[in-house]
Amino acid sequence: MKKILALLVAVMMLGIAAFAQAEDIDWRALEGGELMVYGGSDEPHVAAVCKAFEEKTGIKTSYIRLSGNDCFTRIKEERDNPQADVWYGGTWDPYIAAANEGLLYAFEDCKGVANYRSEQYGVGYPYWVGIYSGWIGFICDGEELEARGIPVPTSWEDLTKPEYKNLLVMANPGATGTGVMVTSILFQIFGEEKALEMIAAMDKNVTTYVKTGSGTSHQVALGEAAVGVGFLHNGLDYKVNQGYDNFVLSAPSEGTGYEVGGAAVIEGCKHLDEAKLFIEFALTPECQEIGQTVGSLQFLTVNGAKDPEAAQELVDMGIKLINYDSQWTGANKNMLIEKWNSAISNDKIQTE
Amino acid sequence: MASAKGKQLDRKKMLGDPILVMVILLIAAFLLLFVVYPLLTVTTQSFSRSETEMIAAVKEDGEWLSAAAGKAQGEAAEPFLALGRAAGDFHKMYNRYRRNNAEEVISTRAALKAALQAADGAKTAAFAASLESAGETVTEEEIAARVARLKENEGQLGRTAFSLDAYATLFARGSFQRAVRNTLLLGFITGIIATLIGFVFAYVDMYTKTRFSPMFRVISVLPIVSPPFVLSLSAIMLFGKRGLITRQLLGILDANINGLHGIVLVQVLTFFPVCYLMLKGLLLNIDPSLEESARDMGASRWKVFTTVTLPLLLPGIGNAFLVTFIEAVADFANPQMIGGDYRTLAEMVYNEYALQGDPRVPAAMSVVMLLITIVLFTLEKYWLERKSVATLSGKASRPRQPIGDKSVVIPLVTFCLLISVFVIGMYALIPLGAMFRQWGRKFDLVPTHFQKVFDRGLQPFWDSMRLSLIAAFITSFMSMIIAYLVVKRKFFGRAVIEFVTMFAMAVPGTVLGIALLRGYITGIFNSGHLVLAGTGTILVIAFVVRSLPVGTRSGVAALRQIDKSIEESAYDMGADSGKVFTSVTLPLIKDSFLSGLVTTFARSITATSAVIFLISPAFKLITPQIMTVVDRGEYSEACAWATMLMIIVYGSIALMNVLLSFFGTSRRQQRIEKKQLKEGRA
Repeated sequence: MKKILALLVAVMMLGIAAFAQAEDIDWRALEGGELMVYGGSDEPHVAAVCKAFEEKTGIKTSYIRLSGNDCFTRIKEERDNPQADVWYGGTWDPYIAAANEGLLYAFEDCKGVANYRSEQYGVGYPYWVGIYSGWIGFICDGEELEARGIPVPTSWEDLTKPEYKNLLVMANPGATGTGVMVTSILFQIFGEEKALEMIAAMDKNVTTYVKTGSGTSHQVALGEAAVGVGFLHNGLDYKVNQGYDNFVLSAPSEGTGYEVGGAAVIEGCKHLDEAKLFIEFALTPECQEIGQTVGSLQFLTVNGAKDPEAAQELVDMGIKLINYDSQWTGANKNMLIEKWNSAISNDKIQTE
Repeated sequence: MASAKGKQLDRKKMLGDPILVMVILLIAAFLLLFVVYPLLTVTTQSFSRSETEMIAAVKEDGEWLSAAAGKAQGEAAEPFLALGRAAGDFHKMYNRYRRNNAEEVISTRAALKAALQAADGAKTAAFAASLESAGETVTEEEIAARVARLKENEGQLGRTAFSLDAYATLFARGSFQRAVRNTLLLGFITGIIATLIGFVFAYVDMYTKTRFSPMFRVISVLPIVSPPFVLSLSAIMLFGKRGLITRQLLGILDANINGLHGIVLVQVLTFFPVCYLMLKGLLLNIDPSLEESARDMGASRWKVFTTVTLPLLLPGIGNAFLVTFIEAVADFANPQMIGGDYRTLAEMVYNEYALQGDPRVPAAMSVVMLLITIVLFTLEKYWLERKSVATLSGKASRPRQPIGDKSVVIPLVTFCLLISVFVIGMYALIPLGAMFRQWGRKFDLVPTHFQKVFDRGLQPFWDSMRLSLIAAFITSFMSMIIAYLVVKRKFFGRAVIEFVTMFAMAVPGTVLGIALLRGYITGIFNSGHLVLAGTGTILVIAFVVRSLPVGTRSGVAALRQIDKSIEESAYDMGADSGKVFTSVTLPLIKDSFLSGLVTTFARSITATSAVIFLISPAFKLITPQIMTVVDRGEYSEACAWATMLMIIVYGSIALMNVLLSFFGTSRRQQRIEKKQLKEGRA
């Protein structure tokens, strides 16, 4: 009874906290203003969030949807005359790089960050805030594996087994941040030597190294591979939203890494106050819950926001998350790419 | 009067023609502004010191000095504390306003300079001493080194300092060296196969009598509007691991379409029609009497082909090969989608930017790509052009007697039929794929994917069409004028104009997009004038620059076939250069002009990688939408977009043809030609 009471009180306090926060902000203060957003997440998601923001604040909000990396390149090239005010959505690598290059505004008095569920979402603060989170895992074509009589892999070690020959698809670290991240996860779990051995063994199974992060699940959907290493919510998207009932998701028992999706105010932007308000909005449960209505199934980052029901499947899998060090990955990106390059067969053939 | 006219004519030849001079200047200005200048910004970037590193060093040194000064005692630390603070301020402002002329940058920079002067060598000793007395072990040399580095970086930031770092990094990479080899090989293979197929199509169309001719014509135009990614998708669906042909038909379990063979397949299908159109224009201009006289003298058909037709066509074939080679090298979408582990330069440039590393590295890659093109182009110019022959004095005097010989016609037509069936198969998969519930797995037909396209709104179609149409007209006129200048005129800088026009073709779309953005984000040379970023104008410019080389190429090839004497006689009769161009030259190359119009329109509307960096909410284009959909892996919806795109482009082409047939003489001429043909048969 006491426990339940304590829980109730805690929930109430959280509710009050969230309520108080929302009360602090005068959403209509900048009515009639303008805002320009570069959206790095799925287009329906960006569109819905911008529309909701416009309705809530009366600020006229327009957007362009680009891939996260294209957002970065554009913001960097435009830094002398920023065309956009806010960068919304997309994985953290380009946000980390942009913060290091001074492209993002330090939003030091952001109120919404007090409401994070876990401090891991605040790694980029004050330059960028975490608005969702996703986990790396295995996206599998269950039908194909069954037809071949091969089990669904459940560990990194499994991927090195010869039975997965020509069935594996991974991301190329020389082309995408997801590839760098997977390599880094292996380094962080197994140490450099063992990780490189495993990469070489997996290389024998890999049919293609794709050049985009989401490419691994695309290849599985197209039937080009039976096991893809990538973000589980991409696989979930296929399974839940696009009717790929052959998809089976699994996660490595040794542990795996996660990403945090970002949002940031662009340094030197033309509508700073409106942009700040947008970031505050991005950290409200109200805004975060928009994603699941348009098919974005990542985990949310603030208290009071309800995770997508479909994502419960991932929680039930009991995924073991490592204490993934994104800063280390960023600082060692070139090293990771080079070591990876020398571990896979192309180069072996050349140097022998 | 007569003598005055004679003088006028002389002056004309010596470039005294005001229209000519104005046109040349205009073209030169356009090329300078939108090709040379943006590419120069990329080139300088590749040869410069890394600003990111320099400014990071300023910050680091500033912090180090501040920290050290904080620990020291007495007045000796004062100038160094101030220096550290000044470095911090400068770093902050410099990062915020890269434009060196921003007030804040100028004032903090001046403050840093003053602080550097105040902390001159003599004071280092005293500072070191005061640190020592505070119990810190920092040597005088260390301090001096920090100050010296600060001084150097302050001096060089924002000014272009030469460095080959980017190239050193690049050439040390095995993956880059492989990509260079891969790219050249790919260009070569695609170039040869596409030219060959294009030639056979052109030959069959122009020389033989077959009822399939109109069909070939339609089919070979199909791939010109190849929306990004979808042909690669079709290839995966047909030949992939779960491919309709590989798995369902042949039962192969582990087929792999990803790689060189996949890219070649898709690229050949995409590029052979361009060769076909280029060569067709040339064959049209060959006077049949040349070949007929050879036949009359007893030469076999094969002999005529190898000794008359082929030599006449050689420059054209060389052009077609070169164009395809360069297109294949610069192609981004197909290697990205279906390249697998076969890395090519164009795709590598994009992905290198995407990795957010040192931006000088992809810039250096682009420069390498430019160099490859320059070499190729030079080769072509000095080797092929020497062999070029002016074949005729005007248009063919009468139509050709088609070859009816079955031993020639049947194999050629069969070949074209096979290719056509294949092309149709690949393209039929696009609308079909748009209707399948789930491409590759569930083949029941549903309209939901088209519904999604309509739900997202049709603004992208309208915007894309409008801008591409504007671009197509500008490009066609410009490319004809450039071709005319290059072939028919001698003036200072002619070779340069030709060179620069061709450059743009070899630039990967990504680089062109970034170069234009970089060049015009704060106006030209950061001047605040011509701030084109975010406008529709810059999109049109990107389209024009992208398709100008193709138009110019085909114009040049067509014009080379026209003997100078025709135009000279017009001059002799007193026409000025404007009149000669519009009333003599233009009608002679009208076919080439029309095909140029269609091609440039199609190229513009399907341009992908360049526009990503130039679109703004005011102009939503179709291709970024397709990219977005492909990004998410909604391939059926991507096919729906592509189908709509194809419908619109073919609709526009048909409309354009109808409209254009009212201008000029083509209809009347066609009627006359038909009549002649009938008479000939009779």
